[in-house]
Amino acid sequence: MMLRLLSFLVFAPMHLAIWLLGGCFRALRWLFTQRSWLADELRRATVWSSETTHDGRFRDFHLYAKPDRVYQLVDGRLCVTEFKTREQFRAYRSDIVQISVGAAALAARGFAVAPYGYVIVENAEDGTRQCIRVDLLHDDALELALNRYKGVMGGSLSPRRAYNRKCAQCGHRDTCTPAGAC
Amino acid sequence: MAERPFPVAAGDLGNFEYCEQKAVFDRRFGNRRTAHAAQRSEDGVAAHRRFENEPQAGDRRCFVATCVYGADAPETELLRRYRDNSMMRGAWGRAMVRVYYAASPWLVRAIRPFPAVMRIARRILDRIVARIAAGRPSETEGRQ
Repeated sequence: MMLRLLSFLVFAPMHLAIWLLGGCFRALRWLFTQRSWLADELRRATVWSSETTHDGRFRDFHLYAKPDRVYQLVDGRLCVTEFKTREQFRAYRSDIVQISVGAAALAARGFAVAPYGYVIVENAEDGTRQCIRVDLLHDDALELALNRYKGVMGGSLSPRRAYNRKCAQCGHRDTCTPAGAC
Repeated sequence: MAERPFPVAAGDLGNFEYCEQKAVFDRRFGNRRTAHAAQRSEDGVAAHRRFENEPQAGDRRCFVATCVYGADAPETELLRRYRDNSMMRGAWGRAMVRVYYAASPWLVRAIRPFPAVMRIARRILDRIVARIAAGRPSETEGRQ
């Protein structure tokens, strides 16, 4: 016990000093860059939840989502955001589906949810960010996506393949890709 | 008898939309990744952690106070309100909050195993809370 306390007293101030120095540096950088990338309405909004699991019943499905941040807009509605690191500032359909599931789970719990969300994309190279607004899927479109997921994962439907440049980095490429397909 | 709702996680459906075949293989063989993909994933997790630790006005997280008092304690709420209403208004206040957010997750991990240190932290925080409460009576009201 004494040894633990002693090591804490010796190493804690040293670690703390290093952390504080790093923190000071990041603070100065943050002062000049923070929030310039954030959408106007999110700047005025408050963070309602962060990395919190939300779930709710949606038609024949029970949805689970852990959005990176949920903001409460000035008008009281919740707005779901997802954070991504990418080489290009763009949002994909997979982002829209992911955010739509989060919004549907919140709506199922009775919260008023905005019909759009944001994908916050951080450039993997230089750390710059952009906030991309996306319209969420309508309930029927979301149900279609969920039914297809259920069918494919259950084995009653055949899965489609992406066939894009990411295939080269996929761990299943030897199992998946027919010779010369990609 | 009614059928049980089919459980779906947002991340799983997102991955499925990206490549259905990969989602099926992931379930069958596990999430195999190339070295490049694993590195990208690690970088992404680190970036997520940085993003998660960034404060913003209205942010409900307050690491040390939550550790000492509890997430929904009135003292924690008072400190949050002081941060949002006073500190986050000025550039230096925001910088101090940023430094705090950089150090506090580590600080919490370091002090949590030591009840004696936790008691000292609580005493320090009690004095800060008392000063804030004395200076700003309205800060003690709960968040609406």
